[in-house]
Amino acid sequence: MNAPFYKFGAFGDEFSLIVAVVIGILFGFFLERAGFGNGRKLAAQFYFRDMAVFKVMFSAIVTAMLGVFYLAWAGMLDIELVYVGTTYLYPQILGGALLGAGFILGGYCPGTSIVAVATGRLDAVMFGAGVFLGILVFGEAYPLFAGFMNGSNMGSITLPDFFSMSYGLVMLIIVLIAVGGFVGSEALEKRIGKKLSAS
Amino acid sequence: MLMGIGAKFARGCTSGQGLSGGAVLNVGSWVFMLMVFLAAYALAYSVRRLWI
Repeated sequence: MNAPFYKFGAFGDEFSLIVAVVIGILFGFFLERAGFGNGRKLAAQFYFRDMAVFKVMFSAIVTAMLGVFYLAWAGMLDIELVYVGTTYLYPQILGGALLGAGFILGGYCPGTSIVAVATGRLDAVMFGAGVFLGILVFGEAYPLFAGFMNGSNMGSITLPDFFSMSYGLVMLIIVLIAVGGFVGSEALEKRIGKKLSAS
Repeated sequence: MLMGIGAKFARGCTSGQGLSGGAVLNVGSWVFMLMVFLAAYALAYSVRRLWI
């Protein structure tokens, strides 16, 4: 069987929604079990006290990246059909900065706030309300910056295209950064995290 | 609110851009993740009273 299943018509629109719900439930379950339904644990990341967020995220990226690559290599996945989002450089820089600011102030990212709402955390309920309000404001004000949003469109560009390196080389570099990051983050946890806790 | 506006500007959130986009080596996703962490670390010191 070839993947992406949906694009090869292995199932239709309706079944794909069921698949999405099942995957979504699993995603939420494991986020909660990892402790990511707790704003304190997420925020601890930014004080070098608990680098779990960084480690989990990078592991997930590396796993998915290697999975996509090896499935394609084994002929089970048509990599040309895998959706690669469009890069809009400046809006994504701004959006990333705003999201990072919201993350450290609120203690959640959009996904984990939903997880935390499900476990009944009131701070997450307020956070979630803020997210919806923010989206509403954005929607209402959209005409003001429509030009900015659609400028700097770089198409579906990937890191190998951008640096004109081979796919494999970029993967190797990312894996090395991940492993180095895991080792480095544990060292930081020990050194800076302890110092902060003591003070 | 910041979060909702940020997610819309970037056309995706941590999971959508960071995880899915990161795995397919999308340039915008990596720029986005870099900015998320930069901004959070930059602000972390000023709002440390909230968390420590």
